[in-house]
Amino acid sequence: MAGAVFVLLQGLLAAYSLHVLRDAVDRRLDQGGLDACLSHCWFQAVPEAILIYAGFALAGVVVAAAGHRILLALPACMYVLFGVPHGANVLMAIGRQWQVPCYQRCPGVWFGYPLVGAVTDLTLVLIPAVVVA
Amino acid sequence: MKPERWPGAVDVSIVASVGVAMGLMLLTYRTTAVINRAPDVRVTWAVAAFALAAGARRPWWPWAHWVWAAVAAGTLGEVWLILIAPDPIPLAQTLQYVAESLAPFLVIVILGSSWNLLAAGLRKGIARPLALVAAVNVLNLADALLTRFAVESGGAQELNPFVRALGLPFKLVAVGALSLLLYKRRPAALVWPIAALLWVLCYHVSGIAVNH
Repeated sequence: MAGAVFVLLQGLLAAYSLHVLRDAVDRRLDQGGLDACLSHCWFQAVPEAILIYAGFALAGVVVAAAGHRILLALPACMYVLFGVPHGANVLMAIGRQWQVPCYQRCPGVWFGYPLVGAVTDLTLVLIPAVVVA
Repeated sequence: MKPERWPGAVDVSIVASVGVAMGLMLLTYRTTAVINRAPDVRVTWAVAAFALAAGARRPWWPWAHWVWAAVAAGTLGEVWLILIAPDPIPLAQTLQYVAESLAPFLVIVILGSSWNLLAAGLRKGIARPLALVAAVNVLNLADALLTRFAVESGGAQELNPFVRALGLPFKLVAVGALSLLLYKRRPAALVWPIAALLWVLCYHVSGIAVNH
């Protein structure tokens, strides 16, 4: 269930990014982005999200299966929260589609803030491990 | 799942093994940085954290460790992208680049997770201390030969004043005598020279890799 939510979110974000890119091309704010992405944005985003979610969930499940109830969060937390000493802006979301393109104002939307993607993804990838533990 | 403390019952073999595993992961990171370029620090920490937390437990080890390293390094996503949107760069060249960037993480996750295998081996050794004495001397012999090879090829200098003055046989005899002394007095302490010599041997391998 959590995996489906993760993949769905990534798919929606990819669709939104494509919309932003198209809009930017129409307004002549961007000329190259659409060519680079249009043919494979969805084919890239959805399978990639499935692979990434499976990998991160697997890491938590393996540690949880060893009986470590707190350590199960360590690998994913290390990846997401590594930059925390330098501020919340360097948090790394697990899904790549959280990097929503922006032109006149960055981030252009509320879910473009690094904290939103990082916290959402971290919660979703840890759910299977918590269930196993 | 029954809760279990990490790393389990703390004894000399566990402390030495975790120390060796951490030292080897650091050495791999450093070697990669010298040969090619430093691996992504964020991914390195995530992979190392998983390796230490998960250990080498069946049925997960090593496939789940490699999957995690490939996912954290972004390799699986890159390979998928190559498949659906072929690059103008030749496929073989792209795959070689991907493999080169993934390799250090695969090594780090295997070395880091092998701490509980090493701890189990050392624990068995403590029960049969003569095996530990043999291990110390075999590792010391390997270290001596690799050091001589490095010195003769001009890649290293012998800094041990005793070996410089008295030659290699002195080192072999001295370590042999001291390991026998430890065997008589405190056999469990033999795990420390084993841990140190294991790391030194890997340092030699790292040096050979850098020079090639």
